[in-house]
Amino acid sequence: MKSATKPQAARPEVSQRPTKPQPDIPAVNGLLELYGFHEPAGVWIFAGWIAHPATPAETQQYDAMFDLGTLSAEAQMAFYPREDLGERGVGFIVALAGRRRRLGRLLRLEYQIGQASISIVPVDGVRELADRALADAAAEILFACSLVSDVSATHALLARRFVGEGYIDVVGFHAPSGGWLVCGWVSYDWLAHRHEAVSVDALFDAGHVVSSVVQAFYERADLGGKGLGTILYFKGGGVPPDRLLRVTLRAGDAVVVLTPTDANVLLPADQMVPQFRGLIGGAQAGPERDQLLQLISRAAYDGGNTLEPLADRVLVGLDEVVDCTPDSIVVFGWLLARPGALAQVTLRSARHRLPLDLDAGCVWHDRPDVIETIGRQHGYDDPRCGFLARVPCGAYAAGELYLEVETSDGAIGFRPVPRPQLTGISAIKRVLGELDPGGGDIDRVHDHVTGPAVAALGARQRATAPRVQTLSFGSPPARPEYSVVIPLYGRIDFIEVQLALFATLGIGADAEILYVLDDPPRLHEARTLAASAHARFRVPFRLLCLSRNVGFAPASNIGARAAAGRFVCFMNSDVFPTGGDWLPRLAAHLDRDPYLGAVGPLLLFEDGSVQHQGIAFKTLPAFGDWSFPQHPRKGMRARGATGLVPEIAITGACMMLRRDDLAAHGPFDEAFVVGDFEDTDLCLRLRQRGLGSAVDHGVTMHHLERRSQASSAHRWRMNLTLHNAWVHQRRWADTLRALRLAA
Amino acid sequence: MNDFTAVPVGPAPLRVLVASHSHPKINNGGAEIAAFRLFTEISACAHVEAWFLGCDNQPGAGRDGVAITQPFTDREYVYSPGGQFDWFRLANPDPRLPDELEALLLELRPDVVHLHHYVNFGVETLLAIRRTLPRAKIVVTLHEYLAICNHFGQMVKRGDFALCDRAGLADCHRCFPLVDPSDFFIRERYIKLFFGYVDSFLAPSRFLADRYAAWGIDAARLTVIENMVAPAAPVADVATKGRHAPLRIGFFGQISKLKGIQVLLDCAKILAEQPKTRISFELYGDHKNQPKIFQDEFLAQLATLGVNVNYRGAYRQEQVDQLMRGVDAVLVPSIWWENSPVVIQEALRNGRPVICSDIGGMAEKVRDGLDGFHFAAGSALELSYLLTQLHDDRTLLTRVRGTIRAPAPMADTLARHLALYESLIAA
Repeated sequence: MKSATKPQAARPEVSQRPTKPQPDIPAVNGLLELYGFHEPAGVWIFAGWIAHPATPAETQQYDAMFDLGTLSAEAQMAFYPREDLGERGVGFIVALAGRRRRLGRLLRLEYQIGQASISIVPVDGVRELADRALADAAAEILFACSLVSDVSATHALLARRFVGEGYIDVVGFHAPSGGWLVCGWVSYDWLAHRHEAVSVDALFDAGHVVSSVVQAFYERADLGGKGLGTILYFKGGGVPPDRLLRVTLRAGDAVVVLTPTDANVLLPADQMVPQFRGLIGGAQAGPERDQLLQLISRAAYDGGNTLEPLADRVLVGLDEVVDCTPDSIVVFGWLLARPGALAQVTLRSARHRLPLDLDAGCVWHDRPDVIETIGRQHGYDDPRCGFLARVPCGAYAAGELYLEVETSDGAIGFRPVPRPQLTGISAIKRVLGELDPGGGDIDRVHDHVTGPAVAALGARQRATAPRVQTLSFGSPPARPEYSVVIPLYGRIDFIEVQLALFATLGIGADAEILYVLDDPPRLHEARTLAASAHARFRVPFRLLCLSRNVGFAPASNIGARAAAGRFVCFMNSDVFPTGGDWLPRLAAHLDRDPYLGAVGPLLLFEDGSVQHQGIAFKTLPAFGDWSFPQHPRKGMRARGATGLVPEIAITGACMMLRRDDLAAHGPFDEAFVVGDFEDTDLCLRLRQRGLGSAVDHGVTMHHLERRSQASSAHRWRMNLTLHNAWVHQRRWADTLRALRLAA
Repeated sequence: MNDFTAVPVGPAPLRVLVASHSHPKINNGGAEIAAFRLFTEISACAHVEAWFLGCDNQPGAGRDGVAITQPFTDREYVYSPGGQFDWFRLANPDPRLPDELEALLLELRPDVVHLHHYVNFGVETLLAIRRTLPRAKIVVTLHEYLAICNHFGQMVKRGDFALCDRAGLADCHRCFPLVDPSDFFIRERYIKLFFGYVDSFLAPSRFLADRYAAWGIDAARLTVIENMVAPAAPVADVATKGRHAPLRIGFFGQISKLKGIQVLLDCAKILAEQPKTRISFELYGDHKNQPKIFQDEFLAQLATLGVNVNYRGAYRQEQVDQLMRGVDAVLVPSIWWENSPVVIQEALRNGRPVICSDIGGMAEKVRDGLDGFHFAAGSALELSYLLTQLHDDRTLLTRVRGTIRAPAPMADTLARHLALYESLIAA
């Protein structure tokens, strides 16, 4: 279903794919004596006995395997003592929520205890019961069970029964409120129970919707005293052409199913309001009829702000909307409402309802400006009213959006939504700029709010590759052994220093040098300097100029794709060799050891202290205990170690790989936005394929990493680091935990 | 293994980590110079292994993501604080330091950790050391009265700079009306909690030791050992000029209010009124670290003063011997207690009489009539009488030059330090 509603997501899935023959059928731990489907309750019941060690304690997943499919649901098993078993085991019963399906023959019930699979198979002559008979048999067992929370719940479920009959004459989708109106009739058998709370389960082509319902009744002479006409309204559900197949009404234990009298009961949009207005007008007077009248009179969104007339004043400001499709739409704004006054805030278009989850899908922050200008005059003084909400958008693609605010008394107001304008990195900056990096709760924030949105923005940005213009200075070697790939951003002048070092210390005739200019505004400057540096130093190189800034990983990957050497060495422009034979020395390690995947030099600061001698990971409690790469001994004097030292990961500031390995296991993952973590990610991927990383302490280079400036203007940058850390964490947490335990 | 030759095994070397709130390669204060000198001298001892841990709190110091680095040599470490030091409780909230210090201590495994000052590290560092190395001895050299007094540890009243004898919750609250007495209670409790981990406190002066003892540090844990003073540079002595030459009075050090610069300037004004008294003041020192208002006032006064005041500006440490030998006496007119001013040691090692305020560490280090002369602290008039007397009777200074007691040689001070370490370890 397109705009799936929450309750449906919680319902169990019935997989229709046939069960594959399992090569390792688990040992049998018990027998099934009784099972069946209870239609009014919508549950499958399984009962029998199991051996003591197989008794699960908590709520957990159960899989009921039939020869035509599997039914999976979470439940809590209940137990009762059985004299006939003695010490062999206990009786059990479990209720799995589900739907009637053609599942065929029951094969077994399965679940896990720890690592062990438990299997319970039907006894010969297993009883399959339904509805009343099932409820009676189950009730007897439940009565004997020790009290777990599910026992009473199952009791209540099985008490449900079908009562009377019902039919649907016409239905209509009410666009302004995003709900369905249904008109039909119900027999008195069920009506006798309608003093209890009524809920609805509506089945559409695309799935179920469970909701509360507004229901009014009217006299119908044509029924001959069998029942009453009813008009009911529920929110949500599919949007036409999704078909409403049936409506199940529940009042206490009494359940009635309303089925359409005709295949074509749907009223067209233009006839729907007048026709239902007439029907509601004829209903028995009462608050339900008033509520339905209010609903049907509700104006559709006409482009204006209609929040002001709401009796329960809700103040909403929308500052910015960022289009993060296909994942979501991110909304920035503020909201002031009396506690309890708000029922639902929904982002809407002509066809879509995208509800805002103001808890899990939202990050709140202080907006003292709102309190000063508007809040105080309306009696609000808590500045924590600013929000950033990620609204998952499913199939929403485009179209004018507006905001629908529903108050708890059922009134609805609308508000226009600004058109999304930001794209690319400015959109990412906006999404990450509002967060407090130390604000805590970072798993939820990144999992449910910023993470998927930024990932979608990043993916969209790299969907179109930049144009690459290649400038050649001098003739590169025809069959290079080594390719050195150096992205350039910011300090273009480092080309001059690196090339001077290559010229004077030597780089070898079998090395090709590929600079990738990832800083388009500096094109002219870079070309001029490149030409001059070539004239002075005569070291051949190519300059790959990108049409837009793409970040470290994509720029390095573009360079690597142009590389022809047997070895590719990624290098930063602020890394300066101290000798001329580093390429063959690093490559020799890769030639010698087939299980080595990446090798790099010892990197030193300008004062001779260590900048990098390998990367370790440290979990930071202040940031959700995520793992962050650390440079051990950073800033300390080098220990004077020599030779090759294996490391979990090494820096991309200078990292050599076989080009074949890069083709097979690379390139750098561009999901890391701007640049961070892609080097350790690649090392961990190599490691997963059995290829290690190492640092040669005999090869030293200077890496003039500068201190980053801490300032609030860089808040988004800090949050971007956290975003990349989140991507890294979700991918490598288990690997790194295993490495920590092994250490 | 058959040609194994026995190597004589001596006792394991004594391992000492000297820590300071700064580093002389970064800043030029007396305390960090003394700490570094201690490190250099004990490093030179055959049976000692020593390391130095200084601090650099300049903005942008250090490296991203780490607190402790080694920008200089293998045996020198530098901590770059995060810049959030709590100067009230002398606490350091930097979350990086404890882990990194612990790792460093476990690597070096010193027998003695000797801190010259605990600021920048924070008093909690004493706990971190004790926790990491329960058997190591912790020695702290005290400088000024920071733990006792929130007024920059000077023990002079805020506002009128009147001399203060002791800290008290109500008295301290009077100095800092915005700080509740209960907060002063917490301050003292907090600091003393961590001072409890110190095995021995060193005070360069008896006066300072007594103040800390009065504040509550167990006298048995307090030892008076003077800071190490380098021997005078080999500079030829300048003979005193005849009695008709002007009397040259030198001032060396920070040009600041507490160093008594106003006493000197007021005295110069009084003496300018006595044309027959030819006394000149030679001022060596920096005024640029002082508050702007003080700098402006100082420069304005210089402009209106007569020829008897010569401001020579800042000087480098290695020039001090030469410069001191160019004056007849060195003036130390501080209006706070002082501890053991390095300038006194420098003057004495150059055979220059010291004219100083009659209080605290100054009065202790300069014996009146033997190493120099005392005058009533803060009194420009008293100073002018004294200087006039010294001008008129030059034999007074000449006689003192004969009785000056030179500072203890470095070797003696070094031996006292080592003896203290050994006794703590033996205990």
